[in-house]
Amino acid sequence: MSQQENKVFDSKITRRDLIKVFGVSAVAATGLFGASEKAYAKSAGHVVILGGGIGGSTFAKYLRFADPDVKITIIEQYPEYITCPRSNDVIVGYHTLDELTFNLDTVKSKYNVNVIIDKVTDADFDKKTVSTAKGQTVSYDKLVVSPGIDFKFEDYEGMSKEIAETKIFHGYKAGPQTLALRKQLLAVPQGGTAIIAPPKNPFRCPPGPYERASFFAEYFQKHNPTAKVIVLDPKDHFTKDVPFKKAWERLYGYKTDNALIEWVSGSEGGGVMGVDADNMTVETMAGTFKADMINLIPNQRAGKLAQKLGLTDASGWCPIDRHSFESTIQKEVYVLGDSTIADAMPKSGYAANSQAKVCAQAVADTLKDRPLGRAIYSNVCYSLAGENYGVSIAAIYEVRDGFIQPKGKSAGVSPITDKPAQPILEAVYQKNWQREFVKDVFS
Amino acid sequence: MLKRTLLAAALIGFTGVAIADGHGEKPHANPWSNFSLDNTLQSMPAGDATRGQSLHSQMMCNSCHGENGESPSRNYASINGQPAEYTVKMMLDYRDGRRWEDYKQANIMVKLAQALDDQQIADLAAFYAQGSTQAWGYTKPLDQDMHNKVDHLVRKGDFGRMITPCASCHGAKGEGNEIAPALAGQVPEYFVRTMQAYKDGARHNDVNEGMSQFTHDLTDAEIEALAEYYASLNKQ
Amino acid sequence: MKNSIKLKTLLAACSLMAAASAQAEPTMANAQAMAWQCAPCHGTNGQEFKEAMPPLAGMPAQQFIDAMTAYREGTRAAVIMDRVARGFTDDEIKAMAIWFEKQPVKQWDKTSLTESLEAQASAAATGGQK
Repeated sequence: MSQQENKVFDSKITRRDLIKVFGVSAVAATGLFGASEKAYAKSAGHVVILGGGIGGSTFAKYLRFADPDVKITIIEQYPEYITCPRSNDVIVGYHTLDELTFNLDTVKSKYNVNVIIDKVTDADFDKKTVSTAKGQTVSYDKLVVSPGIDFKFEDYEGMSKEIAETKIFHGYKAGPQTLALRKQLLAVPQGGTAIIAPPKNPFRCPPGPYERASFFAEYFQKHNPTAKVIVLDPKDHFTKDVPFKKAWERLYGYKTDNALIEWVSGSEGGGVMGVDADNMTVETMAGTFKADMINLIPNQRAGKLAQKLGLTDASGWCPIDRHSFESTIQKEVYVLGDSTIADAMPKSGYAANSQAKVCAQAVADTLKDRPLGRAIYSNVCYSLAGENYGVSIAAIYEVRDGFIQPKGKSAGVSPITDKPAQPILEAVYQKNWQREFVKDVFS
Repeated sequence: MLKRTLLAAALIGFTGVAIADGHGEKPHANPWSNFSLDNTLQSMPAGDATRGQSLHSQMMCNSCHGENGESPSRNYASINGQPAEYTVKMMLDYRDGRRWEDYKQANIMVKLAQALDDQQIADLAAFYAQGSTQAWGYTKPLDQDMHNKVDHLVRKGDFGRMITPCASCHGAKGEGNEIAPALAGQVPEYFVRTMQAYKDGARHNDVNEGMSQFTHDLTDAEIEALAEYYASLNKQ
Repeated sequence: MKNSIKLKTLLAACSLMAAASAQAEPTMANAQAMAWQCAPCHGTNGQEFKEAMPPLAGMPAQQFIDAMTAYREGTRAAVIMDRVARGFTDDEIKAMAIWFEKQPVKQWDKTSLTESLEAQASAAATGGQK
């Protein structure tokens, strides 16, 4: 709503007009204009966002849509952001990191958002301030945190942060990790083995490890046809496993003697217990596996900032109010994206973007003492099982019985059909989605 | 026979053999000459409309172009009632990089065309040619002045601007002829996008740049009026 | 006159809210909240005209309604939209259709914030009703 529109509404329709129509009790009951008219005299407020990634940037843009007047500040550690979505493409050379690198320039200029490049070190929830590494103190009325994920290296014998930076890469934060995996993949000798070890639920980008396995297999098929990908999984099921496995059968001889992909499930002993980085071996219940590269994607918890600010519960993730994404631990602090407990919603970039929009409207409504609207969320994850073979999962979500759940009969994965166009079109959509998505987030 | 076609379609789709690699590298096809186009069209196999109808669903053409090729929305072209030569030429142009425009928009058609062989393209073309055009369901009536003006353009052209009458290639009722597409019932938004793409040079798969020349001096208002004029026509 | 229409619209919205207050929240999300959820594929406010996924901005409402209903009922072949459309009721589809029809037929990056705020406000003023 434009400023002018706001004025029209504010001046022409008074509380008295409404009382005339509904009577006092109706207005009081609906709380349409909040507890008092003082809300309109209050200044527009200052919303501070910690983290300028997918959640933070989307939030800033959509908060500007929801409230033309509010002051918005993003504090982000790095001047550039590399999207995790499509970073698997970089490993096999379909994209460069440059193509996945974005900044907050447009958000800053088009949506009138202050951008501070600095590292947040702490927050004082009583004084409603955050402090930064460069010694700034920033006051807020509402604080929004979009802190991403952190890894539980301690879950694996022989694994550590240092090893994750030198020998056994996760590739689950796009950047140097991605390039390190690419280097290792290209160096796998003829007939060699690559191991991908996905984490336990819940984790960021649930189809990510399986798309990556597909890409490795496709790469081997072209350049190293006697090599093999082994997926060592602590789980018996994974997202889109039916269409993924069908694709592996169609494309990579899955379950045949010449399979380029082998998947060891949790009940087959696939869960990784430890690694030996010097000898490049992996310990599982199913035995010891030797490989030329190990891509261990560790178990996860909410990002370090969320932990430091005390926004996590015993699960290691951030509990939130499902209607607004306000922390249930700390009032006036909102948490977005991968670090939250969002029930049926996956930890995906799409989900973070979706949550940011609901949260932006909720923050705007709260600042103006308006009642919250009904929350609606969505998620679509397109993955490639091959260069021209896409699989997807899609759902619309609502809050029902206290949880975020699929709405109507919307949830579903790609059907297995005899239509050759289905996976081809899904692959086109996947690439198209990446381009459109980043525009919705950053411009 | 039908079964074999489906199997062939499945194999092509699922092995990806016929699909170019990469994220949109453009194949390098030479522009058409009258001679090369004639030869190519004549060397195409004969199409079978029944197989084409099956492919229309197998290749999910129906998801955008409607159950029989009649577009359900402004976002897609209607392809029912198109001359077979036109459909064949378009599919070859998509496949070989002549109709690329902004690849981001064309890439669905590029990828699908690359997944089809010549026989399948001919079959699809036969299916669409067998159908007939129908007037667009969401037309807006033109005022009489504008109608007369574009009707003149359609029938007589504009000698001063070197614009030949549209009807001389596209038929008196916009029914199309060989590689000149049917315009009757075409989705007006698609018509405008196409004309603008010719005009601004984004599209150049027209032989001898005919359409680029005709669109060069047309005004936006004329293009929009032509779009509505044709959208409301029905070839019968 | 214009203001009185606006007033009527707002009052209609208020009566909806009042009716819903008994259940603690409105029966459906507002059109804008739903429409925003389409943006990651169709562009901000449906204004992505240069990509393969079709733009929604300025789409005649009836075409949007026809398409979504056909996807939901399974009468139109779909890659993914059938799975999405099954999440929406008739009223929700109609509200989104009317909202998108009000958005400018213009590439998103060529649209100013002011233009967009005006279009969103004008769509919101319909209250999802034509």
